[in-house]
Amino acid sequence: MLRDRPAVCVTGMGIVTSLGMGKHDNWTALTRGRSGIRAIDRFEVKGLRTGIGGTIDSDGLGALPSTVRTERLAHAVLEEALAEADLAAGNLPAPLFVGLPPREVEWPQRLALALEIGGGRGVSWDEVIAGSSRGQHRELHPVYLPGATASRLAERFGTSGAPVVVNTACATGATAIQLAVEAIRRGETDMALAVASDASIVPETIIRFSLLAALSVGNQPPERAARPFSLDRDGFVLGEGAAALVLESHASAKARGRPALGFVTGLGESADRFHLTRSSPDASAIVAAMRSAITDSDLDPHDIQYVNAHGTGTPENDRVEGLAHQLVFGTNAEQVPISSNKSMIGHTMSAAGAIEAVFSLLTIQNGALPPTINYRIPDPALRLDVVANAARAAEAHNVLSNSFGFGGQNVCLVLGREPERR
Amino acid sequence: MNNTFEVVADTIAEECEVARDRITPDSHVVEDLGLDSLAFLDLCYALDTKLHIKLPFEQWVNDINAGKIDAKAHFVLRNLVSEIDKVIATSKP
Amino acid sequence: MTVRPRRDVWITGVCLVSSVGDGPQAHWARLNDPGAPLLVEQGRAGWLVHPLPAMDFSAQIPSRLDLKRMGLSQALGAYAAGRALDAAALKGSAEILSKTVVVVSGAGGERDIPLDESIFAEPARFTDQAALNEMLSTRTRPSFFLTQLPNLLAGNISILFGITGGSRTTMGDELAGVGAYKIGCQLVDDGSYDVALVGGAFDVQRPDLVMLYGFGEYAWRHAHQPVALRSQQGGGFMLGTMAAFLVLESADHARTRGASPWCRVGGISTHHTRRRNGDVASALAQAWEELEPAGPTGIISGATGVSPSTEEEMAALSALASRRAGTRIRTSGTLFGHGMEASFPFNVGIAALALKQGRLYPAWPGDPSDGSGADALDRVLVTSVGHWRGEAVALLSTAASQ
Repeated sequence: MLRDRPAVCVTGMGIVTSLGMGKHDNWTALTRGRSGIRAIDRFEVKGLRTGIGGTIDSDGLGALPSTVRTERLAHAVLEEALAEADLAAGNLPAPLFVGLPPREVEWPQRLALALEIGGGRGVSWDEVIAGSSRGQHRELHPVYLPGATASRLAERFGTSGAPVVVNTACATGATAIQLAVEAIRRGETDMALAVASDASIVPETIIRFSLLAALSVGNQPPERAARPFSLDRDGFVLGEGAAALVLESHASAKARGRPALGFVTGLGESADRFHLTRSSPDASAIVAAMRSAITDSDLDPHDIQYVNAHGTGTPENDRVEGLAHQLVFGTNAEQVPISSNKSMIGHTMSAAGAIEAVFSLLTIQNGALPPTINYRIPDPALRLDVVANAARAAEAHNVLSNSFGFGGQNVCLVLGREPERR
Repeated sequence: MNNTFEVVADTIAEECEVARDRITPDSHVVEDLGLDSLAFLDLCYALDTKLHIKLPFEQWVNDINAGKIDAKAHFVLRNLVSEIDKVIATSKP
Repeated sequence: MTVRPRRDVWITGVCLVSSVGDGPQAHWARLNDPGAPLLVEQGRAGWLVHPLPAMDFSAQIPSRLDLKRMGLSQALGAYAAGRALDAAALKGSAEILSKTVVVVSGAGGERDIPLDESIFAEPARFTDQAALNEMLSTRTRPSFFLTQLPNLLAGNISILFGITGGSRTTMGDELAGVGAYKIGCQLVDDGSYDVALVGGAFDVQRPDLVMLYGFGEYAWRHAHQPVALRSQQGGGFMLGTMAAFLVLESADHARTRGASPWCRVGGISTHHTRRRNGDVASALAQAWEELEPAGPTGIISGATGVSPSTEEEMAALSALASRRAGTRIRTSGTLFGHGMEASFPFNVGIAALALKQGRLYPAWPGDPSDGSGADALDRVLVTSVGHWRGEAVALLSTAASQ
């Protein structure tokens, strides 16, 4: 760990979720305990195990291929963040770190190609390839190419060097921030942009996760389905969203006369070796990431005043995260409130780590802890103060934000009101 | 045991790389045969395909996690086969 | 943007797997034999590719159940990762590996081809979403999704080999490989980690990717030609299945445990031009100036064969080489094909191989002819000019050089 590193602050933030566009609408809804989860109406849900999600359908977004929708949201949140940081697009002395979901041509587009090529008869993959590669679909290459969204964002906003695209499953948004902070800390740059976006609620996504028994399939009204930490929790609910942060060294912010909205004071990570989709049941990998972030911020566990949980609402995640909370905070565990934004916005997948970092910073700025809604039946095995159902006024100067990805990739951030003591 | 057991045991042997002669009605699929949660899901999928049924595995997983089903008993092959037979019976036209 | 290491970072282990075979020795032997016939075959849609020979992954992935859960890319990548750890004598060093970071350049997204073709068999029927939902829900193997997540190659590597310090996965075509390498170098250079395992894998049989590149007509559709000689017929890449993993390690840490270097890591220059005429040449010239290669220099060009970026790159490199005597250019795509996300780590691996031997291999057909390649070598530049976007150059040197 670097000892002489610059303090890294946030000077601009952008956010969009199923709760709304922009910080104001999101924070208002979040602290009022509103849910963005609704019945999905952008495609037929018959035959799927669940038909709910935190979709973003406004302004025609629902009708777009998910790749395009994801890019539009990334664009929107970068604009909001740059505006707040008083930066104009073009020639920004800042590299761009982008968290995105994996992308693919989806079935409606594949079938359209198959029909075009075969006229309705059955075709093979190789016929589809041969038939669509005569130059008649050139425009599709830059839509679906994995690096293309980041390339377009880099060009549009004029960021420096080559953009970096990351995916660590549910930790992706946090990894994008982590990379940006590291670049500033090591002196590679004074400023960096981190953005993460995921708007991939399509039938395949629902099928893939429901086959792994990960989704809530209970017979609840949509807004009640996501029940992190409850005894009757039964899985997560998919959500869409994006968030962007302008990060810069504190010195750079001061030189530009921009207020620090908060600081990223600690980064922690670990990789679990237990299983591809399950965390070590003894919480050891998660504990390592949490402790590593707290140590990196030069704090002790008792300095953390709030935990923004990963809190997916799966039976297992919440159990292991609850155990980790006990192990990290010890006898103090029930005095450190923890709540899950996912109870309201669902699991925003590759965007979650960034969205929840923004909510953590807003928590610090506004002195209010967002609630865990739908908390009606506490799980007695988890002795946690979950900020049940209603927001709570509280000064939180140091917030720990957890993101634990499928594949055992754990990233924790400590957000602070002040720079780390050094 | 009945034919369903044979089908299930053969499927476990193929899908999960377990020696067929280790698989008995008293085998616990997790503790004795070493299946993890993913292997169990894939097994249910393979059985669904072979037997033309739809096993409620998501419900099973949730019920186990919620403590409504005793995992220890549920995953003993004899009991699992009996659950599968129930599904076969209700799915017949 | 160019970054340079502040301390000594070495490459202490390499594994390359490709159409040439398995491991550094097989690759060095083949690179030194430009006359021998190439292994190419018809891939999807009849276009030529550099295929993987039949391989047995069990030495690194002993459980057939684990292997079943990975697609070919993940298995290939995990295999190469394990072999790289062996090469660096780190396999089984639980303490060190528990504090190692793995950084993977991933393409993700395997297809279940029989399922896809069942749907393609009745395209009109499956435009009805309910019918498609039913089909996908009942015919998708639950664990198949795990072969489709780009970060699960890293996840598998952590499980197989006990790498638990941290895990990062980059995406995005050629720049993904550049990004993974750069992040790995920086994490070791800034002291965050003593060891980083960096690499990627690519599989030419992926129909969705072949279709994607096909939209843009990027594939070479003729008999094999060296990469630099394709522009007359419109240019294009031949994809190559490949995987490469590198062990990056702080020199102090390596010395303490008695490990010796293959080479030393130097600066990395990354660009993202708009690809107007001359942009690629400017980016390469700028990188050259900022990296300041000195002494006898080799260039491993990752030129894809796609026009016009390949011609522009070759002309720019020749111009730069002509200003420094003893600079020799090699195009790796001629022998190995283009491996997208895996290409940059792979070509860095070739550079490391050459530096370890202390000499460059002979010119291949299409490479500017410059003698036998027996002369000693101090430095190698590795280039990546993406088929669509992104330009990067990395400098590596012998560990002994200043």
